[in-house]
Amino acid sequence: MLSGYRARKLKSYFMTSLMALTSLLGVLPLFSVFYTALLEGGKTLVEAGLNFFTDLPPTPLSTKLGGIVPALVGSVVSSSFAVVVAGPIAFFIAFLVTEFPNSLLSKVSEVLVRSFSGIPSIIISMFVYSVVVMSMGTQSLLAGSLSLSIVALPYAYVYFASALRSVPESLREAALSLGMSKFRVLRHVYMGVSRRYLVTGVLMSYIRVFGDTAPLLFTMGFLMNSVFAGILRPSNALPLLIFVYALSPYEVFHRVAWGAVLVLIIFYLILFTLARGLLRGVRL
Amino acid sequence: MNRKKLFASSSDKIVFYSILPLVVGVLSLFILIGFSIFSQAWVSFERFGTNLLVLSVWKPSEDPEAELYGLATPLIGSLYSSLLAIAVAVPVSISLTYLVGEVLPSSIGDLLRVLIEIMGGLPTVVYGLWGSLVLAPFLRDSVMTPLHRYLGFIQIFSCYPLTGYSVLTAGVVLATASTPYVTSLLIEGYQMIPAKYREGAYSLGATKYEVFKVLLGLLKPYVVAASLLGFSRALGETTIVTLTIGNSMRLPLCLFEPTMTIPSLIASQFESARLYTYAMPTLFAGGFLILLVSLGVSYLGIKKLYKWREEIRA
Amino acid sequence: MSAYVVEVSNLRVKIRGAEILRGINLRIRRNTVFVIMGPSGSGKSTFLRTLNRLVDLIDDVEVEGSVRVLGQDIFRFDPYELRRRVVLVSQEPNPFPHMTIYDNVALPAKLNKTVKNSQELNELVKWALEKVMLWDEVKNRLREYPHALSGGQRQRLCLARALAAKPDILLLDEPTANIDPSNTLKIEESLRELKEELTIVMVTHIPHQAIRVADYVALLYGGSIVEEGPAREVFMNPEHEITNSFLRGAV
Repeated sequence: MLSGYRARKLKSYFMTSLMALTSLLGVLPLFSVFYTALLEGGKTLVEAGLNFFTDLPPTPLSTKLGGIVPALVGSVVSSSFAVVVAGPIAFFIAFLVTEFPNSLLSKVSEVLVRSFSGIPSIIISMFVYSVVVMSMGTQSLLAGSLSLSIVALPYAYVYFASALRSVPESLREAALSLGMSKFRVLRHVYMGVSRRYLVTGVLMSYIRVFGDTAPLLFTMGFLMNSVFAGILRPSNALPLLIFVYALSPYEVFHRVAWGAVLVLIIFYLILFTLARGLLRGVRL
Repeated sequence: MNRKKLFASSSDKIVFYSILPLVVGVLSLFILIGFSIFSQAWVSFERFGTNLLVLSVWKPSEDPEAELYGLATPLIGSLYSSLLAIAVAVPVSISLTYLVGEVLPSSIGDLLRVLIEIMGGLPTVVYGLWGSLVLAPFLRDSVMTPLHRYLGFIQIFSCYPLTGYSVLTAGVVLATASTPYVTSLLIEGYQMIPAKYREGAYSLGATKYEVFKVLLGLLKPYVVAASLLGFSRALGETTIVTLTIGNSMRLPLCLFEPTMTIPSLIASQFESARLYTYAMPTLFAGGFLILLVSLGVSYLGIKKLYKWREEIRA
Repeated sequence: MSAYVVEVSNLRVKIRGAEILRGINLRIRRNTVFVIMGPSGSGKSTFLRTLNRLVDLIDDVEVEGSVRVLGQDIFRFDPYELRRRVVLVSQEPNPFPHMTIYDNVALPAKLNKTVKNSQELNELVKWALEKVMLWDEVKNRLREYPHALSGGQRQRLCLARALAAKPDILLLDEPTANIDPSNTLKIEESLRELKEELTIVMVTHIPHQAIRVADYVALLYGGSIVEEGPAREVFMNPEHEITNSFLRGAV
């Protein structure tokens, strides 16, 4: 072997190691996050017990940890609302774009929905505040849910569009040559074939809005002294609670925040596994 | 190839026109958002003019005449922290792309991609909390204090790190949160490069690293596009920055000082801004500026992305 | 020095479970043009890619048997060193689109650091492009990019790039597939000249081309060598009926 070649090989090994190290550094924070969340959140959960899921949050100087139930309820309700409202809209627009790809409207829609994803979520929060909260005179679960719906829209759209696009052309041709109209084809063929992708899209959108804080900042309110006050009244949400408590200077709030983070992470991982597990079964 | 008629049948027409209102609705919403933000922001633009961009001050007052606001610090803080984030995230993403694309066997590479996906979907508030309670003290003690002690004569290390909340900490956590997004874009692009080029490079006896260098050259415009998109997303990030940047109206001349970004300003001042006359409009003005820059940069990025995709197929 | 640069013994290659090469035995002499003929799908490309261990890049591949190149077992060889000395030109032209015509041809020499200065590099590039009949067409366009070239020109560019690598063995996969007849003949003549300096293993599915350039031929059919030997003998007296049909263009 020529010695010049050895130098090249060494350089390749060196660069590979360097890149591996850099990658490790990039991925390391995730492990630190999980480790700390498990440690600190675990401490909180062990101390608070199951009451963490049923009790109200503590006051700043209390010795008991209390619970996060208003936030849990608010998160579940608002995320479900967002997916139920934004989902169908995103789906039908995705259907339009994939079925009529040459129309001006489709091109406009495609650009439009993708532009939505470029809007920072805090702007959406400010928008919903000035339109909904101001007119209602109060922050509310409804306002928060509407905020999340706007955030969910472009996200769900991307998933649904790729779900519909994944239907092989051969199936589409087969259905159309049987004389089925586009709508019939949708109902009988697409929904069945791309069902798994669609459900994954719904789940991923749910995860996305469940963990999003900024849209709720000025819209949701911060309910602490009851579990549920009505859809037109303030509520709470898990990421919102974590955010506010993390900003506060009180030790007990920090501990509750860690517990809430652990709950959020576990919930996130469960939904994530579900969504991906579904995809694994897809064979088109 | 003959042009397809848009509506092959009347039932198609029904489908099209029944979905049309949805699109119109979404379009109106988009316009409404822009209009609503701008109209509130205008109050502040009118009152303060270009001073909004030049001054760095947050002085609310009961007396509207005495109120003075300037967004220089949050604007610079936004740009600075996002730039830092991308400057860290892009090399990491390139390294990960190299590993997944050339080095690792596909089973491990797939595992790594799943890990990256998990990292990418993790709610930002989790990163924020971790950044605030774990990373900030760590950076302060292990990185900032030594740097200040030994290299304090350099401007950017010249301030004493008290809490660890700073543009550096915010930049690092932002980088952590941005890396999965940029990485998944880069990996996707790398795999779009036609296999024949990869084969051609290996056939000439190039080492793994050399092959990657050649293909990376092909990927360059895509890397730029991905950086633009990552930058745009970092600009709009709220929870991470508010929890790690310290929220102080001081220009970040030094890396270890607390400062402010537009989203962190909005998050921290919104509640109290309701009590004053020009505070809220100024927050909306800041929001509007960030919206403009964010949309503009992401539009550029998407255009570049699509252009590259088209060209690489040729 | 052995007279044979390539010695293949009982080579079996499975890709994703499917057996592509079923026990190949052959030997290739130094400084000859060895042509592998056969219909599409018979495993010719896979064989070439085994010789330079490009098959390593495929996920699910099994290789059995012995392959010795330049006197050494290829699996003892460092794969990158192997590929530097056994250079493959793919069937589909793949000049790097983001590098100029000059830079494409110069790349192997730059990587291998085989030239000492830019003047030597210029000469090498000119030599390679002349060998493939491309020099006159691009000598004033060296700083342009490959997309300005036609398909046939791109193919010749890739050939020049491989030649500039100064390999010991040149592997060619349908090298004149996109090239017009007159240039094809000229390139075939270049190949006959080049065999003084290196050994050429070429795949083609055009019987006439094999007749024109080959010193030795082997007919690959369904993953096995059906017939092989000195070109003249095989063409005059094909033993196997498949060889016969192939030569008459029927397969």
